[in-house]
Amino acid sequence: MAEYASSYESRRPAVCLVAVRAKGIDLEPVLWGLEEEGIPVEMQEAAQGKSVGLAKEAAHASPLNVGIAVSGVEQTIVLHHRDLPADQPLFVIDLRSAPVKELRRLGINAARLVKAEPLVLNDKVTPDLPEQAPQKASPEVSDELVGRIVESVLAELAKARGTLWKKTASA
Amino acid sequence: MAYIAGVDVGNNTTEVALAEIDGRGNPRFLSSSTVRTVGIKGTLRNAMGIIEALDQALQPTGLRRNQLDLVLLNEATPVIGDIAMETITETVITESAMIGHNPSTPGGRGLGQGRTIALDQLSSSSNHQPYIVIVPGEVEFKDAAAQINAARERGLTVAGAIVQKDDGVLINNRLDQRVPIVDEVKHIDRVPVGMPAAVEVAQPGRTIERLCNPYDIATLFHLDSEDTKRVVPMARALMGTRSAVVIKTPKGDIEQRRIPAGHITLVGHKQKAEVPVEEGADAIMAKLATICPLEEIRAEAGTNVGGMFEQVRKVMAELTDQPVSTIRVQDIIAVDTFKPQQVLGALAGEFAMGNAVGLAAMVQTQKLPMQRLARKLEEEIAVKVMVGGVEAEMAIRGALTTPGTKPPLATLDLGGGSTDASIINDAGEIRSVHLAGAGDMVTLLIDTELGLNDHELAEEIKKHPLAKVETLFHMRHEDGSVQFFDKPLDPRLFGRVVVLGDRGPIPLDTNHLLAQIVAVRQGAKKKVFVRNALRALERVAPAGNIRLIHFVVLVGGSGLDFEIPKMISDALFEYGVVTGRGNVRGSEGPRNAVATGLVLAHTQHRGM
Repeated sequence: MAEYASSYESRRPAVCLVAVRAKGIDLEPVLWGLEEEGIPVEMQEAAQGKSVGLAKEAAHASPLNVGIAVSGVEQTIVLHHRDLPADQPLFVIDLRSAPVKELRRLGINAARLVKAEPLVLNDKVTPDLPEQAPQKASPEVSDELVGRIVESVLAELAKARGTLWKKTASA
Repeated sequence: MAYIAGVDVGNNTTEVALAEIDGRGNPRFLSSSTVRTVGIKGTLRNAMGIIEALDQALQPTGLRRNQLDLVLLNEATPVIGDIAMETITETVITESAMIGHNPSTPGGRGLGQGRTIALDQLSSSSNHQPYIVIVPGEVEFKDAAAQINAARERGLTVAGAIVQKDDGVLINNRLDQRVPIVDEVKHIDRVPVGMPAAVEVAQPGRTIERLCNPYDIATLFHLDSEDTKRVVPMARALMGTRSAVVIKTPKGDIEQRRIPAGHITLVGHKQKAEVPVEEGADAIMAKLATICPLEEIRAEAGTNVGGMFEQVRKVMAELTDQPVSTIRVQDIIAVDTFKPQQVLGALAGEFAMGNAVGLAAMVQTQKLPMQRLARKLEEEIAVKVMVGGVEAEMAIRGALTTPGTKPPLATLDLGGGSTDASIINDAGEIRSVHLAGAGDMVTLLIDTELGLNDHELAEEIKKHPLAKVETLFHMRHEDGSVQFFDKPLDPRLFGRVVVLGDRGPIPLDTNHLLAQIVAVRQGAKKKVFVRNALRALERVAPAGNIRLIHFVVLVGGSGLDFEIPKMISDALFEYGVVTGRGNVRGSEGPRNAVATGLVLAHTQHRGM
């Protein structure tokens, strides 16, 4: 029993983050995301490799079964889980177009994957700007604006539902 | 030999039983079908649904529509229900005085007390009283932590913080001395500065203990007995949260007010009684039980209840081509419920649960225009259409085809709009009753109590069990069993409570625990279905005594529900009644009772 435990002592429970040629990439937001959620992370460097494959390996190396890999060559960051098929990572983010916020979200999601909590899939949960001023008298809202909002909401809904399963609004 | 079809147009489904009648008049059932009812029951639009149902039933037999000899329509019971929700209390907190919410990750733990101060004022402040620091969204967590640390080095006491972004843990981890921090406070600009405040964060797995207790608030803020009374609704709103902030504002004016919800007048044969809706569901139902026989229920004009009653009567009047003045509301069921209400001036969008009464009303008129529908159908399909017997009687006849039953027997049809019960005695006499409140009301209760504002979703929650997606490959069902999947589940489902709908799992975007949602769902079903089942059976039972009924057969769609039959069975077991889901013709389950009964009634009638 004791020996069994000791052999694992060196493996601190942490999410494993592997970086390959990622000197110039600011990974701090990812770490902050994990920190806010209270999940530790361990960083390693790899000499070479594709980010998806590395993320999968990192997930296997992590006692928490969650791995992240960032590649300066591909300019991508990947979140993977041990149980997922190697070619099906959970998230792949293109660093060239991703805002800082999205990196932090990746960190949050890595942590939530460990905690089995709902993932953050849009900006809803991270309010980092003062929302609309206190709603006093309602501002003038044109019908056109309402129409546009309704349209975009419906489009989002259709997208979200259509890809998941064919949910038609049954009357 | 002849082919005849029995058609039952219900509120939700249209059902068909197709039979072949041999030379001696004995029916042999060939097939059956169920489709969604098109249009409101009793209107001409129903014809479309009927034709579809007929075609579906004909399809496996290879028969064509014109080979049918007769179509029998049910004489639909003209019952229409409507439901409404009456708020009877409302918590009004006019000056923003509290934040109580469940950010997923607040910082630190414990209770901190001090005066609120903006972060940028901290450096110029030298007072030696403790502070609660307000950190707006523009400030990076590192700067915030650095400024708080610097202030402390200068001898200031920082007792806690209120943060706009989801930065609570990050700030806390960078502080030299940990303090409780409430984060994700949306309207941080509304937090008053320079006011006494208290911040409490509970440890994981617990809820706050001090700020939800009026006496603790009184102790912290030196309140007198009058003020303590006023903080009660606020303390109640904070109960059960993981973190909270209470700020004392000079004008802090918190009141709980009762909204006049109107009166209901119960008019009996000889008596008349008035009940204010705000007295709650139990008072209304208790009064209702004393007025017997009940002739009409009226509601005070100009109130919400009044508006709802008018609506029901108007729809019924249009449907039956009768003047509104002749339409009477004949039954109501009232149910106590809760309704989440936005707290005015709340800082993080939190809400309090207000008391409400849910009401379902029902109207019964002479006759729905089924003859009109029969004529229209006859034109469309060129087959003779007749309006057959009374629905309740047909349901009993159909239910009696369930193996193991014999008269005296009662049927219970828990529908969408109304709860119907019928009974047949040894002599073959049938009595029936229609009561307000059924499936639609359950949906309304689920929708309101969970604050969904999504009727479709509430309907799904009503009909299907729940599960929690625990990993990317497995979910735990509400009964505790675990199901594994070969392929990874959608990340959108991960970590969430899902409804196992017909088209796949639907994630619920709420903070409710699975057990809470189950409790709301079962509570709603018990409040409406079980109560109404007992009420309905009492009305038809000999001498009003349910014990004198021996067999109760559940028919209709709700009989297929995954938990309602058990609930009803449990409730009726006390009365020594054999209760079960019907199995019409030994093959149809609880469905098709009326359609089957129509065919049987026709053949027996002819045989005589």
